[in-house]
Amino acid sequence: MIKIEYSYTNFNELLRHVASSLRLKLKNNSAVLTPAIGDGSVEAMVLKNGLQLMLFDYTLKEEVLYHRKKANRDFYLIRIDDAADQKDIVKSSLLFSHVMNEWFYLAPANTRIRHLHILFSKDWLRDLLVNEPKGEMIMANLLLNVPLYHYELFDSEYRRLLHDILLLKKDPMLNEFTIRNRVMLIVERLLTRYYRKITETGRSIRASPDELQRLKQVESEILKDFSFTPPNINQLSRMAAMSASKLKQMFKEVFGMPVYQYYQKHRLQRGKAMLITKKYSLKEVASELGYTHVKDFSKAFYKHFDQLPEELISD
Amino acid sequence: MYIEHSACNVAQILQLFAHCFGARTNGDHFEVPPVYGEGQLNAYNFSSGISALVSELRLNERLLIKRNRHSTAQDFVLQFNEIAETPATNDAGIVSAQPADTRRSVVRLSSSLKAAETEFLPSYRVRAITIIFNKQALLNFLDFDAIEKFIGTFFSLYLKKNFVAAIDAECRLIMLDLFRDIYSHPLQNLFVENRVLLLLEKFMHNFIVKEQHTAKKLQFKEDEISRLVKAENTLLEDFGKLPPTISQLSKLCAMSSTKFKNDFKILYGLPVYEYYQKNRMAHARALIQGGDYSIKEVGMMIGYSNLGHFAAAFKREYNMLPSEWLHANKLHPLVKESGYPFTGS
Repeated sequence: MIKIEYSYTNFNELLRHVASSLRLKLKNNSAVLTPAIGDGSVEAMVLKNGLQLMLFDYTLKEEVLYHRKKANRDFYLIRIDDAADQKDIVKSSLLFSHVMNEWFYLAPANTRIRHLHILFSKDWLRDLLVNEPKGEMIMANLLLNVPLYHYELFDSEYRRLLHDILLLKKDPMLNEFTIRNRVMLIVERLLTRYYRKITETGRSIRASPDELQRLKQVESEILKDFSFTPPNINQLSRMAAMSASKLKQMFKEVFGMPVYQYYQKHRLQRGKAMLITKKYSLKEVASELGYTHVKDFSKAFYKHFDQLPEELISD
Repeated sequence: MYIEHSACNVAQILQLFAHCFGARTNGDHFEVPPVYGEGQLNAYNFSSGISALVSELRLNERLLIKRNRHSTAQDFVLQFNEIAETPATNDAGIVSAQPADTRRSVVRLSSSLKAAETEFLPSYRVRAITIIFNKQALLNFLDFDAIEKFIGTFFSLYLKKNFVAAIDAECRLIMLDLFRDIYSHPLQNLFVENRVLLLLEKFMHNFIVKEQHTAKKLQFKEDEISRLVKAENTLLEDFGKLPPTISQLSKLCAMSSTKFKNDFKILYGLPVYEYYQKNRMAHARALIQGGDYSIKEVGMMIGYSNLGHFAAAFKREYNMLPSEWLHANKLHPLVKESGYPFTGS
């Protein structure tokens, strides 16, 4: 397995790092994979409007683990990751996130993988939204929605745009213009749906900075140590100095899901990250996550990732 | 009614409209007073330096807009004018709306260095998108060399010969999308800008396609264009039947088949049946994506009796078999909503 760790907020630097990890020679911010390692290509691009793009389309002979580490900068990231293996099983995701958030992605071997990552600063986004009818509301909501994990259904519209960006033959003179227009359609669509989501739930987040601070405290408390049973709602609500029902409701608004669902998601993600490193046995991981029986862990893991941890290890 | 001006600024043009109709604008928005008809205009100035005037009008009187030349700096004006409804008189003499007559729908490029005229006929419902840009603004999207090529070669030739182009199927869909959601979109500026840029991209892309397909450049009369547009509509009318033959189409256009084939290629950028096939496949892709039909049904609907042929044709166009396309989409419950128009070229 090849591990690629990074925290760049400059995609050209990131591409250089990826290229050196895969022992590829870069030419004009793109590289073609050598037959020894797989086939396909990787490319980074800075659009004239300031957006940074990573465009990958490859099949590798060895699996690669990408690990984005927390970067203390104010950049947003749209990640589209699309993988189709030989059995034609497609796994795709679209995540709107922030570079403050740690992230893992395991690119399996012998699988056609396409990544389209779009990176932009908070200021860029603010300029984009400044004159929009609902721009202020979206921006305010994003600033409160920390950590940002907005998943989108990667539906056929997005797929069509991804297809056009990565696979469509373009005239060299209009290449960047064509890519730009479709990337901006993705940004538009994502922000429009984000807006719909925050308005459909009836209300936007109205937490004061102080309440937000307390909610974050609750969050770090439940994610602190998975080997113990997490505190119950009563304990948490005392910690947050708010009623249990208010805590439950606000937590859901700010973090996008109920308290223990959030806890479980991070617990299993931590488990997956541990397993991927191959430093720990299944039993060790299970006990680290507070499972007394490996079987319970396997079951929960399967429910979340559609894959048994045993399969992940044996891959 | 008559407006004469030398402005290349959408906000000013909006003011001129308001003045002509004896009413006021509301910021970048203007609504036609009921005595003059109905409709509205919206002006957009995008940060990239491109601006656009988006209008939907049905006027009671004829309106002629005359733009005088002004020679300080060159601005380009790209107009997409679509007749959405044509008036018709029935036996009782009552005017009623008829479905679109696309024959008068045209794309026109003009330059501020030359005078130009736009006419709004009475009782026609017209949707128009006027895009104004200059060389400086294009630098936000294209490389210097590409701009030189477009402005120096393609645009100048186009302007010299007073070309008029047709609004093709893709642009029609972009416009449809734009006018459907424009007033309710939460990100209105971005929404309009993205579609305006798609139209500009398509317009520019056509030059490249045409250059590859045609050695000599032809000039069209407006009447010829309307005949060719009619042929295009007939060609794309029903993919389930065999397409009309060249001789049928050329008869429809009252042209020789050689002239028809050549002119069609220049106007739409592709030979007749390549254009047909491309739109047929786009239609198939939309049907598959809609999720209401099986691949087999879609194949039948667009006139393939042999599914293998359909699959091969689909793959030629999209680098992907229909089953792969369906499969890739099927894993996620399909969300049906307004899509952006086909942008595959």
